[in-house]
Amino acid sequence: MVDLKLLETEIDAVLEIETTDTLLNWLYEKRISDMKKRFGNGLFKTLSGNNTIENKKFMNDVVVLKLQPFNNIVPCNDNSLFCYDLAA
Amino acid sequence: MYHTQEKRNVPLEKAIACIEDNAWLGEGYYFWYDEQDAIFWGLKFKRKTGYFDIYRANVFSSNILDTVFNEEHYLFWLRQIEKAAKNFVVKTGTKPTLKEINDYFKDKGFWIKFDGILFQDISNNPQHFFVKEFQYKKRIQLVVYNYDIISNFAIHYEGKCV
Repeated sequence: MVDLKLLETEIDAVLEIETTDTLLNWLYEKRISDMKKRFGNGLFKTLSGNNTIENKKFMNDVVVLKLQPFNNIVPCNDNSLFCYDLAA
Repeated sequence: MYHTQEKRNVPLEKAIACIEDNAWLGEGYYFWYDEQDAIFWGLKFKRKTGYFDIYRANVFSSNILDTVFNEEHYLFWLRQIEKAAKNFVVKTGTKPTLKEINDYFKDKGFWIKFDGILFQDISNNPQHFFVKEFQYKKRIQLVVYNYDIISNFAIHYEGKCV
């Protein structure tokens, strides 16, 4: 059986060194990776108009998936990360 | 332990891993502890063909995190989830989703150290309880991460969705 005390120490250590930036980066990469698995590679653009993929201020912004042939970009009503119109 | 799937023309030789985003403990092979829960799951959620199959298997491992019957394991599990979730809230401003917390634990290699995790919630099967308004029975599931601990996987019951 896994040594729970040792595992807890390891988990605590990981959480301790996790900064806001590293966690947001992890979340960002995870979401982009999940979207690419579903829809393939494509352009990502924020609704605010910033079209750089380096823009990682996505928690309060919305990253919109712009992927050929899906050209329609629809506004998100909630705080979700991705908005896309699959009907396009 | 019991594994519920859609009915197939050729019975499965191996359990199928669940990769749904809302899987409670991430990607793994899910089994029911109680046969009645496995059947109820088939009746409710495996309806595409109108029939479902219940498979039975033996699962043996001394490396399962037992959050159902082992108090130490349960308290450990509770602490880790809440610490990680609170970390998300403090550092990102929002609660993690079920998928995000599972992905986090998976990517950091935490839960994968176990062969599986036994966990519970409460059944909403109205036939499950013989006392009115008293949900005294646990609905127990096992998620298996290491398929090597599963043996004698075979079809057990064929059900019809009603």
